[in-house]
Amino acid sequence: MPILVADCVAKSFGSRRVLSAATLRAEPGQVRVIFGRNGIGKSTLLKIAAGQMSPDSGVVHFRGKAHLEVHQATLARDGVFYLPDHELLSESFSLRRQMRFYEERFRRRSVADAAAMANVSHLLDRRPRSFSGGELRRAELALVLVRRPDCLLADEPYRGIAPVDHDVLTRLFRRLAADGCAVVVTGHEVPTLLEAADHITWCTAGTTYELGTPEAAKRHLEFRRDYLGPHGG
Amino acid sequence: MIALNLSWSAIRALVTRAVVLWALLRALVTAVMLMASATGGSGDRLAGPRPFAVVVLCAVLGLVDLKRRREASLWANLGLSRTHLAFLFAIAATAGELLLATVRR
Repeated sequence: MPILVADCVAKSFGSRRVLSAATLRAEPGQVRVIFGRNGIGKSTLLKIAAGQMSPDSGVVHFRGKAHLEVHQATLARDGVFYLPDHELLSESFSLRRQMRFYEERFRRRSVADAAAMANVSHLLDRRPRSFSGGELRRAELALVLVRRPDCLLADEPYRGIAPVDHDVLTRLFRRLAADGCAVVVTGHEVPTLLEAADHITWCTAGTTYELGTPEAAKRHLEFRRDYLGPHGG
Repeated sequence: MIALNLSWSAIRALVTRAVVLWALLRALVTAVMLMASATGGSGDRLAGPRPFAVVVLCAVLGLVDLKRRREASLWANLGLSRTHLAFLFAIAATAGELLLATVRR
């Protein structure tokens, strides 16, 4: 049973309709990946599910409770963590201090344990401005690990990082799912994401299609033709 | 308002910022008033802004500062909404204004 559902969501920006009837589901213990071309509305759908943006229509259910007006801070207190594609960590504090904020607030995992899991122990006393792209992503995941959310919504977490860090991120997403977290990830890194995913959702033309397992997605003719291309998968 | 289960180190960091912001704002107001008195300003102008206006301005500037620092997601994921954050900045400014009023008396 899904812990979070953004159901039948519509959203327009001015005269441009980005989503008309899109649905996002987050299932405990699963890594679900949303694929879709640039500008098709994946990030918008994620922001609406996280409460960062209001939909024009549609409803967000969390733990079975319908939220007609969703607020990110409210969902965050209840167990949702939204990992944006950039600007999660502040450059005003060291990584350790920011992780301490979450450790004190939620008391679910220690800073030292989370840092070790994300391989950022050596970065704890530095500020994020000095991190490389891969280090920054791992540091953000360390923050997620301290929080140990029930649902993680990650927007394009693999973008702009070296392939060697893809495996680390995938391992951490799988670890979170194994702990019972419902993980939803967007992105374009097809081989990496197909390997990480339990379930694929395809976002196209303002709506979403549940394609099922990565194997089932690879067999989906339209998905292959329109998104993966003739040699995709 | 703010959930009982707080991260005190986060609150401390925000309150410190709020106090610095209030002090800077008050220093700026004082400087403007001194300049105005030097150029022969009226008594009304020398009285300075009302404390309530300073508190509201501190809350607004505090939110602008958080946006400038790109910290919206950091605090929101911690469960602190913009209302909570504005409230924190306003509380610190109110304490400052009370202190100032006591000293002036």
